[in-house]
Amino acid sequence: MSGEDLDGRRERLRRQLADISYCDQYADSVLFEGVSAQVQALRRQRGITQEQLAERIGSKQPRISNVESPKGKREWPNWEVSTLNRIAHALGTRLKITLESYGSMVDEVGTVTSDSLRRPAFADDPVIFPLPAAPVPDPAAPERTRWMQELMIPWLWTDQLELQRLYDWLRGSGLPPVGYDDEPYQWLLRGIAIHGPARDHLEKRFAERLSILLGEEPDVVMRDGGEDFLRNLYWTCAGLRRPSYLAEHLWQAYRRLKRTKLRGDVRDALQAALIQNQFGATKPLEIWERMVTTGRHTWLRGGEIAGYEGILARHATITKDIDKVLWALGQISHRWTENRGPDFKGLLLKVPDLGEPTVYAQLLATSKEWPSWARAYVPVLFVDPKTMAARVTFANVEVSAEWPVGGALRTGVRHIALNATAAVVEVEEWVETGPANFRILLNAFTTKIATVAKEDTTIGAEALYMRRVTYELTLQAA
Amino acid sequence: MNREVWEFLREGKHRVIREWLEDRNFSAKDRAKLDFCLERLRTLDFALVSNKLLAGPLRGGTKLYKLRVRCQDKELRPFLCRGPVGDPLDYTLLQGAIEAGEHRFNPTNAEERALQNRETLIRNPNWRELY
Repeated sequence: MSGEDLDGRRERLRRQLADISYCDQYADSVLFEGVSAQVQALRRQRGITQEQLAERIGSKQPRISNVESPKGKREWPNWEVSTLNRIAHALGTRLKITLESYGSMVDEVGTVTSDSLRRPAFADDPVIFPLPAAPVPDPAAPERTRWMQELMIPWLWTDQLELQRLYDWLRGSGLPPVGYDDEPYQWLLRGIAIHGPARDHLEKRFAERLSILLGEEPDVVMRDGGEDFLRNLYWTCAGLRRPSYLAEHLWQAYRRLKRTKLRGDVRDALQAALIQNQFGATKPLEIWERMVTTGRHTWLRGGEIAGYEGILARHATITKDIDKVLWALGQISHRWTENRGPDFKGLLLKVPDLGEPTVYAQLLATSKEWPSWARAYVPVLFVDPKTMAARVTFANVEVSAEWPVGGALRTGVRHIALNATAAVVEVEEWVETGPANFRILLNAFTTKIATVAKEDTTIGAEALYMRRVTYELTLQAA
Repeated sequence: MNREVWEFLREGKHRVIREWLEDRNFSAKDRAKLDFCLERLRTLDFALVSNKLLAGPLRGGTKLYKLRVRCQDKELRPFLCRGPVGDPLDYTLLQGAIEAGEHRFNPTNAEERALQNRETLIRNPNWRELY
């Protein structure tokens, strides 16, 4: 028997269905596999995880998993209609159950595609809520960017996936005559760079299509010229930030590729995409550590170049794991030189929760191992209830407060000259009498830090978290 | 975006899956399940079938997958791969197999045969036909 086209496949099925046991079995497959595939397809279309869907129906993730991929010894799953109905509502759709003739399966051959399984969510239902007109290309954009937007906006605005177009674009074909010096991914990102709320809709639809493309595991199947395709694909993902659509597929690709001989620029692109599309508590940490260790730190999001700052600011994991942040800062301080001091200070200021006394104490302890130039950017706080003195040193300013026994509360500011000679430029008396009080001392100190920060914006952010530390200490003292 | 399902031709003429189905005399129910799974491979995108209908890529980066067809009294596990010639998104069935336990197949060397068939197909890109 030779190979069959669609008509041939339908004819073959028609003949097979004459056997009732074949017919019953095929119908069962159509039913059960059809439901599970559509639940998965719609969940993916909505960009939600199994956990999130389970939460919406007041259940646990395994129940959704059991609908999407039935497991166990039973030949067929025992889903309840009420469960399926709740899932349908949670996905913004209705459950429809009809009884059909066996013969109708013949016409369905070749029609159950990923496109055909998709349904608009309630809020996007074009029958109930007619769609607004598609946005127009940004009139202020350069002419070639407008061309790209004219291509992409209609493609994303409709509900047809038409993934072949995306394949072609990522291979560099089918793009407008935009010159040889631009990469396909740059044009794709410019194609959705319009102003207004429609941008979010376009980005979501684009992420959805990219997610399906990533699901094809192109890193496994692409050969000749596949690296350029992958690089463009990953950079495009790096230009979007839709973790719920892209993160899992990117992570799976990373796991498959991490021990392969991947071209450097493809690896960079994949890591960039991962950084921009992080999720979860632990998965991205492995990548993040590698990137810090190897010093790869230039990533692109639209036209914005982000670096370590991007990682520190965005990494959800880091806020829960200050040790990793401090480890990274140590690595960076040893790799960089003194002339990158301002950049390093910028990083330091992004350390989450540095205003917490315990975090601050950890920073102080860790920074002892850093080069002296990097250490200079850590404000050093000295507080001693016995001597009733408090002092904080920023890069070039020292703020102090003291209340010696029998004396008066004094606060002061000292500017430290670059040649290491110090000069007191201001000492002010705080009118406070009576026995020395530690809490009042710290309050005065905190106020002084705030005053100095207002006058010297270069220490603004550092002063802010030192105020927090001191405030915490004040509360403890109280 | 539909894709094709191909079948490897042993020695350029013997259809490995059709002959396997005939040799084993599978029931109508078993064939119905297999046919349905192959139909889904053709029409659904990979992410929708990879967790349910496919297992793989198998160990050692061999790029082989198993088609998971759960029948009443047996587990059909025909081996297949993507590509490996022509459109890389197409599938090619390489070897019929029944899984009798953890990594135990009937025939016992089914995985090796599938790998060999894949290599042979890469050398002889015409040794396949649409299933």
